[in-house]
Amino acid sequence: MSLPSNIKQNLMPSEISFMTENEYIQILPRYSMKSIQLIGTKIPNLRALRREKVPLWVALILKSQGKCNIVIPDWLNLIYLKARYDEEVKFPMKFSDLPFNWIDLSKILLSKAPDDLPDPVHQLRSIIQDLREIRQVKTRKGLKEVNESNIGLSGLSLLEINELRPFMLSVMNKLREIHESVRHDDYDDEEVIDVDDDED
Amino acid sequence: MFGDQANKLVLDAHRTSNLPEITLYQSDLVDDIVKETNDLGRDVDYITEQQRTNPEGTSAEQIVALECQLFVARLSMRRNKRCLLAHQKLRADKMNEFAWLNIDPSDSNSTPQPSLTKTGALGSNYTTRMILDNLSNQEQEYFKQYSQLLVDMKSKYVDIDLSGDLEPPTSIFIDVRVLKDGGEVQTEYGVFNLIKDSQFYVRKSDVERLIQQGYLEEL
Repeated sequence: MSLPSNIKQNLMPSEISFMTENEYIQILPRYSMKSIQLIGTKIPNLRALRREKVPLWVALILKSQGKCNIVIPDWLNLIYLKARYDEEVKFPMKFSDLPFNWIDLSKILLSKAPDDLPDPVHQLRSIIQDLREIRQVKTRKGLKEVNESNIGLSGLSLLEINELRPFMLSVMNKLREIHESVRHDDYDDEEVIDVDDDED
Repeated sequence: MFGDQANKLVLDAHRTSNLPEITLYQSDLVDDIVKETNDLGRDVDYITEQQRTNPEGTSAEQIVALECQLFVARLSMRRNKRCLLAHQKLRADKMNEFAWLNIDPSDSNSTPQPSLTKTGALGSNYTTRMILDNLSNQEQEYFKQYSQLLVDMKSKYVDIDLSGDLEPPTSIFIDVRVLKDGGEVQTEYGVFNLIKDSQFYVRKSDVERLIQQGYLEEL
C-alpha cells in the first residue's frame, strides 16, 4: 500500500518532532526583518531585541544563522523540573503536569539552542532523564490495570503515548474480544434462568 | 487430508510476510490446490446427481450420509479458496508497496543491488526488492496496471510528489555522498556528475529521487 505497514497505526518519532516544530515560541531577534507572509502562517515584523512569537521551525532556522535568541519556555528550568520530579515521587498514582510535547521540545532546545538555556545543559539533561524514567516506571505499573474498556492516560505526553500505543492497542483489543465472548454466555445463562423462573 | 496443501501455501506466505522481497511464485503448489478443489467440485456434482436421480432408492441414513459428504466437501473447498486468496492478497499488498517505492524492479539475471535494501526509520520488513521473474504472469500484468494507475493518480497532482520520502523534512540543504557511479545525471535543477565517493552539498528536493534509487546516501 501507499503507507508501509509499520507506520500505518503509529507515528514515527520524526513525525512527532515535526509536529512539535509547528508550535509557536518566543524569540528575541538580533536583527530587524520585514514580515513574511507564508502559506500557512505569517512571520511578523521582527525588530531587534523585541520579543515576537514565531513557529519553532522558523526560530530554529534563524537560530542556526545566529539571527535570534530563543526565549526558553518557563517550564524548562531546573527549579520547575525539580518541583515536578518531587511531585512525581510524592504522588505515585498520577502524572505531574508537563506540556504535551515536553520531551521533544526539550530535546530540540537542548541540542539546537544550548546557549539560551538558563541552567547548565548537563543538569537539565539529567533531570529530564530522571523525569522520563520515573514516568516510565509509573506507566509500567499502570499496565497491570489494563482492562478491555477504558484506560486513563491523563498527563502523559505525546511521545510517551506513542511508544505505548502499539502494545496497548493490541492487548486491549484482544481483551475486548475475549470479554465479548464471555459476556455473550452470561446473557444466555440469564435467559435460561429466567425461563426456569417462569416455569416455577 | 484436504487442505494440507493449502496450509503449506499459507505457511509459505507467513514466512514471506516478514521478508523485504517477494519470493518465487509457487505455481506447483497452487496448481495442486486448484486440482484438489476441482476434484472436490466433481465429488459435489456426483453426489448431487445421485440425490437427484434416485430419491426413493436411498434410505434415510444414506440421505444423511450424502448430505454430510456434501457439507464437508463444500467446507474443504471454501478452506482452499480462503488460503489461496490470503496468499494472493499478501503478494498483491507487497507489490503495491513496492510500486509506491518508486524503484524499478530488477530481473533475476542482473546483479542484485545491495544498496536498495533501505533500512532506518521505515524498518526492515518493508518491501524493497522485487524480481520480475518471481512473479506469475498474472501478477506481472497486475503490477504493470497498478503502476499505471499510480502514474495516472500522480499526474493529477503534479505539484506534490505522492510517492516521495515519508520522512518529514528537517533541512533544506543536505550533504550527500555518492554510493555508486551513475555518470552524469540530469535533475530538474541542474547537472550532477556522480563519481563514486564524492560528496555534494545540495538541495534536498533535488536529490530525493536519487536517494530513493540508492545512488546517494544522506549524511
